[in-house]
Amino acid sequence: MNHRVDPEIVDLVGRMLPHLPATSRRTLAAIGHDERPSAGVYLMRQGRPTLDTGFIIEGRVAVRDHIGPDDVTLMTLEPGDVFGWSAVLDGISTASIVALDDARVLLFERAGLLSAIEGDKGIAAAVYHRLLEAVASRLDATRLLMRDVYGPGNRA
Amino acid sequence: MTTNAILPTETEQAFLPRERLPSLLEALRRDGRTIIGPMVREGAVVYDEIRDTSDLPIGWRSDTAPGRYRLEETGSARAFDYGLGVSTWKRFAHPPRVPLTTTDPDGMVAAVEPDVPRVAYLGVRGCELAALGIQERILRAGPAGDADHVARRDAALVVAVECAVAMSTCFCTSTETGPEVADGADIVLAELDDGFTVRAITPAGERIVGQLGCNGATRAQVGAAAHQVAAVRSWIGYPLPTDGLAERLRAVPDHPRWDEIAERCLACTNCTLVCPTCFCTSVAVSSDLDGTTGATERVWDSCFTLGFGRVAGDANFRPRVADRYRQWLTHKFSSWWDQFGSTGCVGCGRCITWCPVGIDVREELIAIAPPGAAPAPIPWPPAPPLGHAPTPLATVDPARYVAVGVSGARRETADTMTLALETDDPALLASRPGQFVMVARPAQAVPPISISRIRPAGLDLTIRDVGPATAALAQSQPGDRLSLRGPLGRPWPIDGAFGGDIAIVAGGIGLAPLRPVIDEVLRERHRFGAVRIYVGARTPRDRLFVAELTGLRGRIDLEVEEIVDRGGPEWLGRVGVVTQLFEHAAWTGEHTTAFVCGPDRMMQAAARTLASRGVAPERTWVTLERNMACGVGLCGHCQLGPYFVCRDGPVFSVAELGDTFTVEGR
Repeated sequence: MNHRVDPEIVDLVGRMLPHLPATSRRTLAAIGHDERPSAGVYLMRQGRPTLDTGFIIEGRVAVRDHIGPDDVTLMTLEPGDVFGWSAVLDGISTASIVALDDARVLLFERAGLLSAIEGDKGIAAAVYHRLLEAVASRLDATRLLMRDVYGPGNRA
Repeated sequence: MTTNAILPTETEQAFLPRERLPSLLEALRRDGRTIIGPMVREGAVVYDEIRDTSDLPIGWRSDTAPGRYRLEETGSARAFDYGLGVSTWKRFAHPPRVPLTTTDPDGMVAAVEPDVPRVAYLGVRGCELAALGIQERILRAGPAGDADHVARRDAALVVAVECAVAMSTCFCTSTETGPEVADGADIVLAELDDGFTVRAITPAGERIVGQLGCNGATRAQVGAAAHQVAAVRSWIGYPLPTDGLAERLRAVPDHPRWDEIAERCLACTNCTLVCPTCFCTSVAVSSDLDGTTGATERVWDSCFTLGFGRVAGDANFRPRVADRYRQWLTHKFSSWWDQFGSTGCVGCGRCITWCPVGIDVREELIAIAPPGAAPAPIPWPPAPPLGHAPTPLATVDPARYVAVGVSGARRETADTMTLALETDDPALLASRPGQFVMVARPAQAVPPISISRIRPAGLDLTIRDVGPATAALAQSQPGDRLSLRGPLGRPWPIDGAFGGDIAIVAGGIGLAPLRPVIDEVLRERHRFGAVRIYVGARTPRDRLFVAELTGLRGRIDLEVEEIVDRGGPEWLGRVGVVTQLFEHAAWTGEHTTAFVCGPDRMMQAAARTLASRGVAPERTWVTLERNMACGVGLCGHCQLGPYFVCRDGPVFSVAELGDTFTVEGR
């Protein structure tokens, strides 16, 4: 099936997972979708099944949590960021993801991604490493925010 | 001056018979000196004014052990066989309270001129002499001297007495500071049963000895004195192996023993009060009832107190007893070498004797950094390279305050004001980006405030109201007058970034000390490549210099990005932490110099992210906040590993800081 793979998506996979071997890039590209959500479009809904794991190619998206009556923006994500790691775990989104401006994202549908991870150790290593990086970065950011919330005032 | 000096020929030493010891006191008094020496008071030997030889602790000897001190009568006629008491000479050379400044109703601050007595220190031990030398190296020889200490030491004549006895807590042989008397005395005595061998070391000492009418000491007398001190050395042995100790201590910041000691240590500060080298001080502020006039005093402080590492806003860099004990012990035996080129401990053992729970530093050091243990895999970095400070600290007079007028006060956020100050003081106008000033108002503590703009006729200070002193400053109005001391500290090395790219990363009020960097970079824009400014704030309402940043964002030769921790419905910008602004940026950092300021955690995260983008730690500069009470490296509060943040920083490269940047509690 490799001959039907869109070379532009192969290129995007290479940009997002630069250490992935070429054959694995093509395998992953075969299940990737190059989407261009408009501003305001929800890519994921909190509490609903996570259908995709996504990489931001262009534009910004917001991670939103439903707190009280509103959706509160916890964080904005930029090109190069990843979202939707729940897709490779329990499949339930812990937050909503919404495009803030006209964006471009590379999406991998959950079942296909899990199958690719199962069948290609190179893909498994690269995807999990990238997801782990994102989780670590998010945790680091959360820790800094907690310091701001609970810590004493900073410098005068 | 009478000079019937019979300075001896046979041994180059004189001999003062015991019954003529009063003649030494008389000669010292004729020289206009108050004599300070040992005496028995309330069950201990202390140092105080000696009126005649009967005040001396004749026939007394100290019996010491960890947490134990007893005086025993020996029946001897000797006056100096008492060992060591509780007093140290720092009480006289670096007193517990010294007036610093007075403030008049106009808010003008004036330094108090030292007024010190002419004294003689009688009975100084070898270890104590070493301690006086160590304190002098700190308080006289630093980039800024302590005028009171200098005056006191210049007014003191030192009569040392070599040890003829040792106590179980002595370990001066390990620190190489005794028991023999080395440099620093004017006169050296060695006490024998029938009198004293006498050596005049300095011209001042010769003048005194010349008045005693002594005969020369015989070879036998000199030999007996030498034998005594040699016996003391032999008796003490080498209880603490100090070879490589400084390096071994650096390797174990996480040793579990720190926590074990903390369970016993009461943080009572006894060890630092009786230590002859501990020099840390704070500034105590007093005022009249209406707060219009005031005064400050320098008072002894201790790194064991909870507030020692506390800064405005109630952040505390050493909140745990374990942090404070580690700080004290590693300073004494390790970082002191980096800072002053000597040990910080003279092995007198007072900290062992007077510790109420009997903590023995010898035992703790052997447990924490035993001989044969591997030294630090990554030694502390060398002292900061010289040459980055265009205004050398040596030109800063720590007692000089300059009156400045407030010409403008602009509210930046709910708790932050920017004051525009006018001055024609050349030193203040020569301030460099990254430097700070100490700002005095009557009846308030004197906080260090970063300079947030340097103008041709003045300075801007941006002040966040996080405590009483900053609250008072933030209430300043046009027409008010403030007193400034400075500029202080090492500036950002902007010229080191010429020809390369710049990344400026600010968190919260950390934008204030970076604002002069932005000003200077823009003034000399042609000297730099890409200039990227990343600014984080807690909320949109906490953003500083909003109009200026908006203006900068309109320039095509700058990249300016902002982010807030919490947005809210009205905020359309980025949400998250400041590192997200460049985490996935397209640029690489091989030719980038980064200037970072914000809370420590934010700077650590920024440094990590910058490193991942290829910015070298040698070109990643941060400015640290610590408790800076003096601003010139004399009070000890802002010590961080081998550095004093106020004197050696506050700007450091991440490479210079090494693991001191990331180890909690330092």
